[in-house]
Amino acid sequence: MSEDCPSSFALDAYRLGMDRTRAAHVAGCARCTAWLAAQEQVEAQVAHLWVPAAPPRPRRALWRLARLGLPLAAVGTALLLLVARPKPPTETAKGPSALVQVARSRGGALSWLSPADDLLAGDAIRIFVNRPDASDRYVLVGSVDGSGQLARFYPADGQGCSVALPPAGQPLDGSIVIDDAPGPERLVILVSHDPLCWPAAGEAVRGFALGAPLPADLLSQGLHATRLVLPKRPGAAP
Amino acid sequence: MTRDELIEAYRGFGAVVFRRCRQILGNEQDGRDASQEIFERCLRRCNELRPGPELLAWLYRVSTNLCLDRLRTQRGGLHTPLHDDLPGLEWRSDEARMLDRDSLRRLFAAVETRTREVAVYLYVDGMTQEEVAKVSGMTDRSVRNHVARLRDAAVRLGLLGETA
Repeated sequence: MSEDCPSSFALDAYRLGMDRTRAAHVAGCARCTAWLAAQEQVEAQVAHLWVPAAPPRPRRALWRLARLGLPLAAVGTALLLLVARPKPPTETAKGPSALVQVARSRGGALSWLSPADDLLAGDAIRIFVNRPDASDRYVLVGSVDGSGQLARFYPADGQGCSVALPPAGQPLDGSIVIDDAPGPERLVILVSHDPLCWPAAGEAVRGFALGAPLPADLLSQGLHATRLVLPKRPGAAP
Repeated sequence: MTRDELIEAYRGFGAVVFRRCRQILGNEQDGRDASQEIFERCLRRCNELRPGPELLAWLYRVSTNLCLDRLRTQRGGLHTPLHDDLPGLEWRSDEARMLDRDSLRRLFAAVETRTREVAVYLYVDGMTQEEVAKVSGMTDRSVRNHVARLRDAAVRLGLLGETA
């Protein structure tokens, strides 16, 4: 081992506040400082993932066939360790992408959706939205399937308004179970300073999903809009 | 620890586990899977775990053994090189740095499981023998024996000189 530097075990104990006996060395050692900085990056990358699975709760009819029974607890638990992966293509209406990530559970196997992935009926997805601006507090999510049908997810209530953005790194509450409607699913995520409400937002979501620009009155509110086109193929997930 | 205390503590410990699993298994996906299993073990045993250095040592031991076990059983041997190209997470052992990747794989393959565990502590974590004893739960004498076997193997394989 190194002549002088503490072990990674000692540095972890130092970093976690359990043992400060090597503080003087660490303060003056570029190698240890770099190691600790790298570990902080790892922690920042994954710390938010060590969140317990939300206890199963009654489905909120997020999707038209949202009762296929995929165990939410399993989805949540397995999501604990997912870290940043390639994201599906996004199109944004303003500024940098809202950095939406979608995690998919298929037959108990979890993965981040990448551009090469598709959906099957029975897949469960969870949506992670990074807050574009500190002042953004609300998110509204809907999707238009291949037949042009609009589904409202967040909020699921057709008369409801945007839900609060969860803390960084946490998914929106509840998973969405994919139905067998024709694909693709065009998911629209609108992040805003102030809540938007169904049904008024419905036409904007539908239009944006299909490639139209957002209405000027929404854009003037400083809205961040993301569209994810999620390929879908016939068949059911195992 | 209560479940909530463990979850809170794991915000720091989890990163340690993930880093080690990724480092030993050699890729992010396997590291993630192993970390998840360890986290679930922690949740099942949270009533038995105590916060602080004891938990840190336990996590080091469990993650080491789980990863080595996976390497042995899933891949028929330690074929995947221990990973050292993560920025800033370099091998902390100067002695290990003297060995190239292939040499290190050969060394690990040449020793039995418990000695391999000691090798991870020494070469991956850069621990002193005293720390190895503390983390592994072995006696000082037992650690010394494993270190001797490890170095004997290294010499036998021509990886280190007789004086190593």
